Amino acid sequence: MKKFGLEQGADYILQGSVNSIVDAFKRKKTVTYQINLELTNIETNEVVWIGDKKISKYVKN
Amino acid sequence: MILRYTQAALLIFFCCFLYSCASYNKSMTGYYERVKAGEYDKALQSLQHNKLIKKDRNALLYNLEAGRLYRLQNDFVNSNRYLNRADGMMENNSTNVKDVALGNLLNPMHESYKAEDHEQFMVHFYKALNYAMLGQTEDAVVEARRITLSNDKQQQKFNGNSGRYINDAFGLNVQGMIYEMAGDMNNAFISYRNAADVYLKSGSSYYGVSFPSQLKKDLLRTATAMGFQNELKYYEASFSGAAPDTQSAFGELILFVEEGNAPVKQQHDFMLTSGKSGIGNFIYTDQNGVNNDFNFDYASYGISSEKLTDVRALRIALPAYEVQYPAPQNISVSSGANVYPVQLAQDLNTVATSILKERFVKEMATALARQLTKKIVEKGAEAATESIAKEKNKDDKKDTTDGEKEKQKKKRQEKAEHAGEVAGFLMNVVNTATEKADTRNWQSLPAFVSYVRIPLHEGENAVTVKYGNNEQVIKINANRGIQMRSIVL
Repeated sequence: MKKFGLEQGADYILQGSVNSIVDAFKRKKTVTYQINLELTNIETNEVVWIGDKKISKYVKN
Repeated sequence: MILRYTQAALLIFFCCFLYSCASYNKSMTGYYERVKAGEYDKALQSLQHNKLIKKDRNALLYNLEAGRLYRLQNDFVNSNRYLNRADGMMENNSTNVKDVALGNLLNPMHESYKAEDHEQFMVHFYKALNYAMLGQTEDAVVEARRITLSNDKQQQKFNGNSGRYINDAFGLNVQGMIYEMAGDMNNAFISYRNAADVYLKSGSSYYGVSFPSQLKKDLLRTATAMGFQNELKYYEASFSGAAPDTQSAFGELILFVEEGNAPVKQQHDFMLTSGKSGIGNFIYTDQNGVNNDFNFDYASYGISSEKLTDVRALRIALPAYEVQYPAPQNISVSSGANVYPVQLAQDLNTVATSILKERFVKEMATALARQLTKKIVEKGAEAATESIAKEKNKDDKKDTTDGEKEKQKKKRQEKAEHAGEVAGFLMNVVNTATEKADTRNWQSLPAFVSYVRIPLHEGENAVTVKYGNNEQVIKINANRGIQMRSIVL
């Protein structure tokens, strides 16, 4: 059972990237964000979780 | 009673008149003088305490000026903080209802400031240089990508009408340099090629800048590096005589030289008198004393033609640029024993004045629509006051003869008309006093930006920039890649 306040280092690291693609014409714009994430166990170097999500936003000026 | 009211109101309105007479430049004189003199920390204080630029509608200008000032003080992190805010505001600029209402009732200085087209590209330029100085190449490449987005937006603004400012060749050139700095030869070639195409299509010069020979060399060099033989042959034939230069193995410095001050907007007053060829036709005299016709498309502004029938003369105020720094100096850049030629990359005098001139017809139509709206408000005030005055004066005495009633009725009508006229006149005074042109622009921009590419040798290099009787020396260590710097004369 882990106790609080005894952190010396992390167990996992979450890495990823955020990319965006912009499609625009005059005052209308669609921005599509793609977020890729990987959760890695630092000790064993095992990639525990991989996820990605696409978010689209429509902007009208 | 009405006379005293008139006097008091006139006093108040004339105070407003005196207050609102100054153009943006005059209200900000203290700040701009300090920037020109090089006293950047005092200028910053002046900026932070200036009431006009701190108003919400001028927030974009405040961010632009703060970004420029911090850059001049070599504080690149804070400079980008403000420039990023400015960039965000420019990206999301939308006209809101309050702006339109205020603009129509008062004057365009009360609307939120929307940046001029060239100011957007200058923001990208400065942000990229800041990131380059901080060593954040990835962020500089993001700026390069944003230049593509801004250029596309610019092209879509005018439906591809090539008489308007649809491409910023300087922005495309800088974009190529950023990609080259990041090692992306493919995108660098594309950017240089896009810039070259703009210059090639425009004949002898594009908004004051002729095709820089350095750009020709850069295009050929990146085409060779990518192995694009067809493009290489095509452009070698188009340029006739330019050859790609070889680069130093130890790296290169791209030095931008900024000089002078951007042109300042001043207010020009035009008297429009109604012309002969029908409703909506006006005549005005331009700066050269020539009489010009102007046809006002009143339907598209929602103004009906009856409102125009009894309009004889209108005074409108429009902005026009005054060039502050007319010609670039003779600049000589040397490193070691070699002298490198400096080439003009951007002429903000020509770009700014041309963009405003291209907008002239639209600006005049908007100003005219505003004046007509104000006239309608005046007539409305007159009619309303007249009817209120007639209501008020209905306190008849009961036991009066018919003759006296007639006299009283006439007196009432006269009083009401007088009150109406006074109200109309007061509205006219207010409208005339509040009619001002939008004289705001980013005035601490330079007038000219020139550039030169200098190959570096190993270790520390001393680059000397000589202009007139002055010189500046830049010390820079070669890092086997491209570095971008800018100096202000």
